[in-house]
Amino acid sequence: MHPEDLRLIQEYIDRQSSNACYSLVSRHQRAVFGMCFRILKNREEAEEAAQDSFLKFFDSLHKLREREKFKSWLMSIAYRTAIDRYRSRKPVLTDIDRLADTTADKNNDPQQQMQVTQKRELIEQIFEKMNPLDSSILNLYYTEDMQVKEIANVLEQTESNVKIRLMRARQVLRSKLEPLYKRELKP
Amino acid sequence: MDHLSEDQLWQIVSREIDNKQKEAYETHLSGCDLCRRELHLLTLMERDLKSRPVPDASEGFALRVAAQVRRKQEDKIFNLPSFRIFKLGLAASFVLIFFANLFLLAGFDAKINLPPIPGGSYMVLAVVVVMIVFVADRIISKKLT
Repeated sequence: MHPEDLRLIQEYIDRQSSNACYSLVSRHQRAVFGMCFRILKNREEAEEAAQDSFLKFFDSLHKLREREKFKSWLMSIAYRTAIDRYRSRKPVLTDIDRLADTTADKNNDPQQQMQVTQKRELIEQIFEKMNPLDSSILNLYYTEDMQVKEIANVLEQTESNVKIRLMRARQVLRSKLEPLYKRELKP
Repeated sequence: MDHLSEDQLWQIVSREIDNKQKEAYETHLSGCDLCRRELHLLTLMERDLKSRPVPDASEGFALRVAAQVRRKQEDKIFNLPSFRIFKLGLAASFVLIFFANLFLLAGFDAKINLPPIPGGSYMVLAVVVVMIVFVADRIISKKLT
């Protein structure tokens, strides 16, 4: 945990400081919004969910005992808020195992896929088709640099479940992305 | 040693292995082109997964959230039980002072005649006013929450 976060939290609790609140939001809005956006896949909804998450966070910040775990706690609130919105609109869930057919059809020319942008597009397509829990695990692991134990806390899952889901998600990614890396791989 | 499993290779890439495992894996990797190629693939994949662009909220998001938090704090203060009791007490005091003044004025100056209230006294009226204030306070509090 960054010492600046600790100082801002203390300042907010002591003086209900708007500046501390603004600074904390600024420092973590990308992570919170990113989490919401990747679950909801809609900018407006994600922004509303992120805003709700921060309001809940500040509303109960004084109850937080282990302040060094505030980021996990904040991300956990964001995940629950986004997932509640996601469930309330009843989308069609796509299981990670069923990705094979859908992504393969759109990317049948490995030559063209060598471009970085195309690679990114494919990665985003795969993420979009994952269920929110799997994509959240990957996002927290790779984008937020969280450990499995921390992710398990955030998503209220067991560590073994997170490990299994992470492994399966990586396997799917590997099978989908391998053709795009042929040129980069050493012979 | 058999080829390293995909899971083991991911563990190497993500540095999730201890030194003992690392040594064993490295020994295998030094003599296995297939596993080295696989490891390279996963390393490239990890690089791209880590460099995925992270979406950000629109401009002014932090300001909007800070303003909302401020508003919530203010609502909370106005909703505190102590503040509500204070408001109620203040309203009741004004009502009682008003009627006490009327009674005093009526006593000192015979020209001021209090209009008659059918079926009740001024004290009953005062209680009714206090109750109205109390109900209004409840409604306002509910709206705020």
